[in-house]
Amino acid sequence: MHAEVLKGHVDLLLLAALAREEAHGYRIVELLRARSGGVFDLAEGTVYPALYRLERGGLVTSRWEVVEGRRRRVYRLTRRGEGSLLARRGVWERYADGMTAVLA
Amino acid sequence: MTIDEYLRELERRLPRLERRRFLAEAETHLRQRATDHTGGGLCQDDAETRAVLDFGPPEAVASSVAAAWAPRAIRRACATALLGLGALIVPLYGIPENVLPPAPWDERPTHLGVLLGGALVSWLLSLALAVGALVLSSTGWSRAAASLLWTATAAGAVCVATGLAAAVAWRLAAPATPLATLLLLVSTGAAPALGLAVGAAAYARGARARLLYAFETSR
Repeated sequence: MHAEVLKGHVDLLLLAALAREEAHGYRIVELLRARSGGVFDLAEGTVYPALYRLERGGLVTSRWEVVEGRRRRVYRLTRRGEGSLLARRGVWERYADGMTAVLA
Repeated sequence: MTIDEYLRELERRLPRLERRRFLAEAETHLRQRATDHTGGGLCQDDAETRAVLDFGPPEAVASSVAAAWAPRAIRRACATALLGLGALIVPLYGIPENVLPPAPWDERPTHLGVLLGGALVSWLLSLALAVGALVLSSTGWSRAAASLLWTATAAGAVCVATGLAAAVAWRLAAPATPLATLLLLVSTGAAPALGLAVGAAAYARGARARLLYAFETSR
């Protein structure tokens, strides 16, 4: 999918990806690609600034871990992040329903 | 472009304070992606080139980082500058109030009143502007906040200059005042407070420049 289309929805996608499990950036990119059947192919480098922004907003927390000699930052949804995901999901569902109805 | 070359390019463009974090994350990601590509049959050079392409141009990544980092940096700079400008009350009011001898006149000389009034007005103005900048930075107007912070700091500098001029004028009108001691106390108090505000405003200006760059590159 075109990057411009995805741009406004990156935060929602990241929150949704972290809803089921904590994950590092690479894993999140893989999760989104797999769950969307390859439709959401994000520019990988832009995931990290978005995660940073979510962390600054208190929606996710992160910690460093070392796996096989590689340091990576693992992200997890906070309570506030869960609430935000719920609210954004509701907005998105109303939007999607409306769009589907118009296009039908 | 190899991963090492890419990371050097990225390092050059990232905000200094968050550089280590993003570089570490980028490196882990790129090396993992390259490993996956070599597992898929690519040679090391091609795998690294592909990983770098997947990650995106360093300019775009750095500008995304700047866009995420700068608003908070500017907000913190506004709060710091406000602290510095607020602290000016100690050298410009607290110290003179406790060091100066009682005024030897029934009616204060006009020029002295003007200088003291000017110092007070410019101080209040600097505070009001800094509060305005903090409000702007908290409501998404980061670039405007950074610009306003410069104006607030300039008003703070005018306040310090006027305050020092008032101290000299006071000494001329009341020769018993210990001028050297007074100026020393006021200056040593005002310099760090104003310095804090100027430093914060300069930092906000740097963050604003990065934000502008991010805005330009995202168009």
